[in-house]
Amino acid sequence: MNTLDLTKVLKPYAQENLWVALTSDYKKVAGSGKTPKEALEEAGRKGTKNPTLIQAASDYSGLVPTI
Amino acid sequence: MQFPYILLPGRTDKVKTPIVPIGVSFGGRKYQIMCLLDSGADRSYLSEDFASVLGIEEVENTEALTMTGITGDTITTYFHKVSFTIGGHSNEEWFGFGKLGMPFGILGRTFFAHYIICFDERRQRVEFKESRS
Repeated sequence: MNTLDLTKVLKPYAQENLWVALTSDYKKVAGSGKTPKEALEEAGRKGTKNPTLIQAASDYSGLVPTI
Repeated sequence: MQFPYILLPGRTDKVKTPIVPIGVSFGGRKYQIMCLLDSGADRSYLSEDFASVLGIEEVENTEALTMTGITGDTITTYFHKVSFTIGGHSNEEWFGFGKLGMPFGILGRTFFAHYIICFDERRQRVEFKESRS
Protein backbone atom coordinates (compact mmCIF):
# COMPACT_ATOMS: atom_id res chain seq x y z
CA MET A 1 0.00 0.00 0.00
CA ASN A 2 1.61 3.21 -1.18
CA THR A 3 1.56 6.35 0.91
CA LEU A 4 -0.64 9.00 -0.63
CA ASP A 5 1.29 12.21 -1.35
CA LEU A 6 -0.82 15.37 -1.40
CA THR A 7 2.04 17.85 -1.08
CA LYS A 8 2.18 18.90 -4.74
CA VAL A 9 -1.53 19.00 -5.34
CA LEU A 10 -2.16 21.20 -2.27
CA LYS A 11 0.77 23.59 -2.77
CA PRO A 12 -0.90 26.13 -5.12
CA TYR A 13 -3.72 26.62 -2.61
CA ALA A 14 -1.66 26.65 0.58
CA GLN A 15 -0.75 30.31 0.78
CA GLU A 16 -4.39 31.37 1.00
CA ASN A 17 -5.39 28.34 3.09
CA LEU A 18 -8.14 27.56 0.63
CA TRP A 19 -10.50 24.64 0.98
CA VAL A 20 -10.05 22.25 -1.94
CA ALA A 21 -12.22 19.50 -3.35
CA LEU A 22 -10.03 16.65 -4.55
CA THR A 23 -10.98 14.25 -7.32
CA SER A 24 -11.71 10.67 -6.29
CA ASP A 25 -8.14 9.58 -7.11
CA TYR A 26 -6.78 12.53 -5.05
CA LYS A 27 -4.53 13.56 -7.95
CA LYS A 28 -6.25 16.80 -8.93
CA VAL A 29 -8.14 19.68 -7.38
CA ALA A 30 -11.62 19.88 -8.86
CA GLY A 31 -12.61 23.01 -6.96
CA SER A 32 -11.30 25.50 -4.43
CA GLY A 33 -12.60 28.37 -2.35
CA LYS A 34 -12.55 30.16 0.97
CA THR A 35 -15.24 27.83 2.29
CA PRO A 36 -16.00 24.12 1.76
CA LYS A 37 -19.19 25.17 0.00
CA GLU A 38 -17.31 27.23 -2.61
CA ALA A 39 -14.92 24.36 -3.30
CA LEU A 40 -17.75 21.86 -3.72
CA GLU A 41 -19.73 24.19 -5.95
CA GLU A 42 -16.79 24.60 -8.34
CA ALA A 43 -16.22 20.83 -8.36
CA GLY A 44 -19.91 20.33 -9.09
CA ARG A 45 -19.80 22.75 -12.01
CA LYS A 46 -16.96 20.68 -13.47
CA GLY A 47 -19.00 17.51 -13.08
CA THR A 48 -16.70 15.93 -10.52
CA LYS A 49 -18.41 13.19 -8.54
CA ASN A 50 -17.65 12.41 -4.91
CA PRO A 51 -14.90 14.97 -4.29
CA THR A 52 -13.09 14.95 -0.95
CA LEU A 53 -12.56 18.13 1.06
CA ILE A 54 -9.43 19.26 2.86
CA GLN A 55 -8.09 22.71 3.67
CA ALA A 56 -4.72 23.49 2.10
CA ALA A 57 -1.90 24.67 4.35
CA SER A 58 1.80 25.24 3.79
CA ASP A 59 2.82 23.53 7.01
CA TYR A 60 0.86 20.76 8.66
CA SER A 61 3.70 19.84 11.01
CA GLY A 62 2.84 22.44 13.61
CA LEU A 63 -0.80 21.53 13.91
CA VAL A 64 -1.96 20.54 17.35
CA PRO A 65 -5.68 19.96 17.70
CA THR A 66 -6.92 22.41 20.30
CA ILE A 67 -9.62 20.03 21.44
CA MET B 1 -9.91 -2.00 5.72
CA GLN B 2 -6.63 -0.16 5.48
CA PHE B 3 -5.68 3.39 4.66
CA PRO B 4 -2.18 4.68 3.93
CA TYR B 5 -0.86 7.63 5.87
CA ILE B 6 -1.06 10.78 3.79
CA LEU B 7 1.93 12.97 3.05
CA LEU B 8 1.23 16.65 3.66
CA PRO B 9 3.46 19.74 3.35
CA GLY B 10 5.65 20.47 6.35
CA ARG B 11 8.10 23.13 7.49
CA THR B 12 11.20 21.09 6.75
CA ASP B 13 9.89 17.83 5.35
CA LYS B 14 6.71 16.07 4.38
CA VAL B 15 4.41 15.18 7.25
CA LYS B 16 3.02 11.65 7.35
CA THR B 17 -0.42 11.91 8.86
CA PRO B 18 -3.13 9.37 9.72
CA ILE B 19 -5.98 11.14 8.03
CA VAL B 20 -8.73 9.22 6.28
CA PRO B 21 -11.54 10.14 3.89
CA ILE B 22 -15.01 9.66 5.33
CA GLY B 23 -18.40 10.28 3.78
CA VAL B 24 -20.67 12.35 6.00
CA SER B 25 -24.38 12.59 5.30
CA PHE B 26 -27.27 14.50 6.81
CA GLY B 27 -30.76 15.01 5.44
CA GLY B 28 -29.97 13.36 2.13
CA ARG B 29 -26.79 15.29 1.46
CA LYS B 30 -23.51 13.38 1.44
CA TYR B 31 -19.99 14.70 1.09
CA GLN B 32 -16.49 13.39 1.69
CA ILE B 33 -14.00 15.09 3.96
CA MET B 34 -10.55 14.19 5.24
CA CYS B 35 -10.43 13.58 8.99
CA LEU B 36 -7.58 13.13 11.43
CA LEU B 37 -7.67 10.04 13.63
CA ASP B 38 -7.02 11.63 17.03
CA SER B 39 -6.89 9.27 19.99
CA GLY B 40 -6.40 12.27 22.27
CA ALA B 41 -9.82 13.70 21.45
CA ASP B 42 -12.81 12.48 23.44
CA ARG B 43 -15.26 13.21 20.67
CA SER B 44 -15.42 13.92 16.93
CA TYR B 45 -15.55 17.35 15.33
CA LEU B 46 -16.10 19.08 12.02
CA SER B 47 -15.71 22.67 10.93
CA GLU B 48 -18.87 24.75 11.28
CA ASP B 49 -18.43 25.68 7.60
CA PHE B 50 -19.12 22.04 6.81
CA ALA B 51 -22.45 22.20 8.67
CA SER B 52 -23.90 24.54 6.07
CA VAL B 53 -22.67 22.22 3.33
CA LEU B 54 -24.62 19.40 4.94
CA GLY B 55 -27.70 21.60 5.26
CA ILE B 56 -27.61 21.85 9.06
CA GLU B 57 -29.10 25.33 9.20
CA GLU B 58 -29.57 25.93 12.92
CA VAL B 59 -26.20 24.67 14.07
CA GLU B 60 -26.48 26.27 17.52
CA ASN B 61 -29.95 24.86 18.20
CA THR B 62 -28.63 21.79 20.00
CA GLU B 63 -26.36 20.65 22.83
CA ALA B 64 -23.40 23.00 23.22
CA LEU B 65 -20.11 22.01 24.78
CA THR B 66 -17.23 24.32 25.51
CA MET B 67 -14.02 22.39 25.14
CA THR B 68 -10.59 23.24 26.50
CA GLY B 69 -7.66 21.81 24.61
CA ILE B 70 -4.05 21.18 25.48
CA THR B 71 -3.17 24.69 24.33
CA GLY B 72 -5.63 26.14 26.84
CA ASP B 73 -7.83 27.55 24.10
CA THR B 74 -11.57 27.05 24.37
CA ILE B 75 -13.99 26.32 21.56
CA THR B 76 -17.76 26.06 21.73
CA THR B 77 -19.09 23.23 19.61
CA TYR B 78 -22.63 22.12 18.82
CA PHE B 79 -23.35 18.43 18.46
CA HIS B 80 -25.41 16.88 15.69
CA LYS B 81 -25.90 13.22 14.91
CA VAL B 82 -24.91 12.46 11.34
CA SER B 83 -24.31 9.33 9.30
CA PHE B 84 -20.85 8.48 8.09
CA THR B 85 -19.32 5.98 5.70
CA ILE B 86 -15.75 4.76 5.72
CA GLY B 87 -14.43 2.07 3.42
CA GLY B 88 -17.99 0.98 2.61
CA HIS B 89 -19.03 0.67 6.26
CA SER B 90 -21.77 3.00 7.50
CA ASN B 91 -22.70 4.11 10.99
CA GLU B 92 -23.79 7.16 12.96
CA GLU B 93 -21.75 9.54 15.06
CA TRP B 94 -22.29 12.72 17.07
CA PHE B 95 -20.08 15.43 15.60
CA GLY B 96 -19.37 18.73 17.29
CA PHE B 97 -19.48 21.62 14.82
CA GLY B 98 -17.46 24.72 15.66
CA LYS B 99 -14.63 27.04 14.72
CA LEU B 100 -11.98 24.34 14.89
CA GLY B 101 -9.20 26.12 13.05
CA MET B 102 -8.19 22.74 11.64
CA PRO B 103 -7.76 21.87 7.97
CA PHE B 104 -9.67 18.60 8.37
CA GLY B 105 -12.19 16.97 10.64
CA ILE B 106 -11.26 15.19 13.86
CA LEU B 107 -12.30 11.63 14.65
CA GLY B 108 -12.06 11.09 18.40
CA ARG B 109 -12.63 8.13 20.66
CA THR B 110 -16.42 8.07 20.24
CA PHE B 111 -15.62 7.23 16.61
CA PHE B 112 -12.92 4.77 17.67
CA ALA B 113 -15.60 2.81 19.59
CA HIS B 114 -17.01 1.58 16.27
CA TYR B 115 -13.77 -0.18 15.33
CA ILE B 116 -10.54 -1.74 16.47
CA ILE B 117 -7.96 0.65 15.03
CA CYS B 118 -4.30 -0.19 14.56
CA PHE B 119 -1.72 2.50 13.74
CA ASP B 120 1.11 0.76 11.89
CA GLU B 121 3.87 3.37 11.95
CA ARG B 122 6.44 1.10 10.32
CA ARG B 123 4.24 0.53 7.28
CA GLN B 124 2.73 4.02 7.42
CA ARG B 125 -0.86 2.85 7.42
CA VAL B 126 -3.89 2.52 9.64
CA GLU B 127 -6.08 -0.54 9.79
CA PHE B 128 -9.73 -0.76 10.85
CA LYS B 129 -11.52 -3.86 12.05
CA GLU B 130 -15.12 -3.98 13.13
CA SER B 131 -15.55 -3.95 16.89
CA ARG B 132 -18.16 -6.43 18.06
CA SER B 133 -19.29 -6.58 21.67
